[in-house]
Amino acid sequence: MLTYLSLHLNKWKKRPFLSLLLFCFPLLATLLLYPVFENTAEETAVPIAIVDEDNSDYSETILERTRGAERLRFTEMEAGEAEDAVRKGTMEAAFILEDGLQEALNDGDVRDVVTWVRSDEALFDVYAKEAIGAEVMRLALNAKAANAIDEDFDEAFAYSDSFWEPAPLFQMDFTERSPDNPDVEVPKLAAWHVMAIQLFFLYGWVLGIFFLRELIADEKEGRLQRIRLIQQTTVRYFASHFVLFCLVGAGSFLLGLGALFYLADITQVLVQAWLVRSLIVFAITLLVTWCLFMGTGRKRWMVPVLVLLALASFLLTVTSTGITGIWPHSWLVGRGGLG
Amino acid sequence: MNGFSLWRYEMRAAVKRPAPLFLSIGIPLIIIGLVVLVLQSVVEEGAEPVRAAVVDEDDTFQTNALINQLSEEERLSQALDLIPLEAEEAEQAFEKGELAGVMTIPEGFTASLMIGENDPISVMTNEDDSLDATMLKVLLESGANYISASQSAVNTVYDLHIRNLSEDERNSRLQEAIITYTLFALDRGDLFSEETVTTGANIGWEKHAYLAVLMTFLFLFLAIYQMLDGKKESGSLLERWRMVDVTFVHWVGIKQVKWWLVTFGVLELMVLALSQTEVLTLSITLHLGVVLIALWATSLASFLYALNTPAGLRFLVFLIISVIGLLSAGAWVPSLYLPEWLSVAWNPYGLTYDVFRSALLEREERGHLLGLALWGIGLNGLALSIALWKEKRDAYVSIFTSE
Repeated sequence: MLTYLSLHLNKWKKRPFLSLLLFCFPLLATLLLYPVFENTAEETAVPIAIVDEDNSDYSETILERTRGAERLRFTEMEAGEAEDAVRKGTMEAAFILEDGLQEALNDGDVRDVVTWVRSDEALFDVYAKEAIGAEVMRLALNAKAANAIDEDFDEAFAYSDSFWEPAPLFQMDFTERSPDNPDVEVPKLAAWHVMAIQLFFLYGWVLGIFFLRELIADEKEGRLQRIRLIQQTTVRYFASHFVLFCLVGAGSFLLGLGALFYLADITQVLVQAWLVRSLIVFAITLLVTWCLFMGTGRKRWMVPVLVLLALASFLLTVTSTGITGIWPHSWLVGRGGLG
Repeated sequence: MNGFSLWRYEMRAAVKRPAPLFLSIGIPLIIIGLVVLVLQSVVEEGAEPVRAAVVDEDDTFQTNALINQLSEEERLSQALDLIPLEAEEAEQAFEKGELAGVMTIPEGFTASLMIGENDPISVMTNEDDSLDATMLKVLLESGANYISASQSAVNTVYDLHIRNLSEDERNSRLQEAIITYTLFALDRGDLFSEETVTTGANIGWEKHAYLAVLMTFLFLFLAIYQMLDGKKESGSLLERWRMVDVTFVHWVGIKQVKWWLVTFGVLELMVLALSQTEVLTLSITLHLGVVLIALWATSLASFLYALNTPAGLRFLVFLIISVIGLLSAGAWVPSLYLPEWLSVAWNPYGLTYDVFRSALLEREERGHLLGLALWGIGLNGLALSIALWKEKRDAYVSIFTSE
């Protein structure tokens, strides 16, 4: 058996560095790309210019509170500079806190206290508008409430603002549920993690398919005939190939999967669920692939056909087009027959 | 002369075995086509308002005002279809997948709000409809801040003023305060005076989409083509070529010229097709840009070829480099939104983006062409030097005596 295992790995032994590189590619790619993608995703934001023409306590408060807004990158500028930046396309929009803002809010007049300069192509600046609008309205309503009662304005204003601490009054508790089972919250991976796992699966599968070429080479160069002649049987030869075929494909896939789970700090429950599912789906996929290859007489053309099948499985599942239920990738993400 | 023979051999092979070229064009087109189809359906779906149910188990004046706050505000109502339902009806509709989410206002919510407690409203979003679920979350969170502001004002007036009034007067003044501050918060659109400026620098989302497709296609095409066309010839064939003084240096040079020619042709076809749809206008600068883009991109491929990297590995390396390059160039997400550290002035992918961007904006900018030329010549020179060094190391050529 060891002799056969060694025979099948002959080509890999000749170029060990290359073979190891191909085997570990999902692992290396994850280690290389994960930090780049993670940092990029975290720091991607809409650039917004903000101009303080009022230079009051209120405008400073607005600037301070909006600074921490999610997915928005506020930069303080002068009015002319901000307008130029929007025109040049280096800023999505500019918000000018107009002179007299504090006075107007204290008087209960909120009309046109902020000028919103946007380009004709702007799309995401509405989120900045909401963030600034919410802060202005918070101050305006505090002032309106303070004006409505016979107490000291500053004290009443501070009392109204105290309802925002430690958290705003109106809060929403969001939970994601599946329509199939709305009563239980099931932990799930982020969409891009699932996409990465599907890519690892594709790579492992294709690597396995290329390993099938060893059988074609053995037949072409007469090694298989010699084994058949001397050993009278080829069962152990094919069995050892199948073992290596599975190890090569699944090993490469699992290395990538492990690196992703480690870097993304995925919970134990999810890791276990995905590992079990992935291994079952991968085992079935490799068995079917191997049987298809053997069943069609180990033809050379079968290798590109199987690669195209793997590619189709990935593409049609990811884009949710075609008959998704029949593809291993859809079983992997739980949409197909194994779901 | 020997180089010319190899050139004829390569071109004859390309004509007799056109599969690599067709596959290299076909596979990226299928991939991009499927992605575009999906994005198109997402955009179409995004144009429809998000359907969500609201289950009001408290049913008080405040909760009704709150639902009005969310559903009657002009911008929110365009994007959100908030349907009042009973708990059971909402559950059934959610299970059928008809809703992006269900918002449940619990019994006693108003009482908790009045005493300043933060009993959260639970919102169950549909995990199978992630786009609508995200939209719903954004819309509700946006409305939540305004409701907090108006409720803070109501609580202040109640605690510091209304609470001390007689019981009869208390209720009517409270209702009055709620209406006043709720309506005031609804007027938030008045805060802004809007000015729209025309920008000549942004290419707009539609043209950006064309650019993303064009650049993704180009590098996917080249990644596949250089893999399928760049397989190493068998040893005996190489020996025969060596006998007529055709060395690895010639192979690298000829592959470079061939890939450049094919890439230039394919890219020109794409550009011509785009010009027919009036997305961009043809110009000498654009054609010169296409020449240089094809030059540097194929020089990268021939550099990897000169390193004697096997075809499969070369494909993977080219793909990884291109994914990082295209991401940092802003070919997918416009660089405006990306972190600054990702934008590097000398990035050849960024320079490639600039060539197409200038063409889409109908500008005659030529500053980035020099950078592309330097990348092309540099990588090409490096590839030939590596091939020469390799042949010299194996004693097939001497740089002093060979022809």
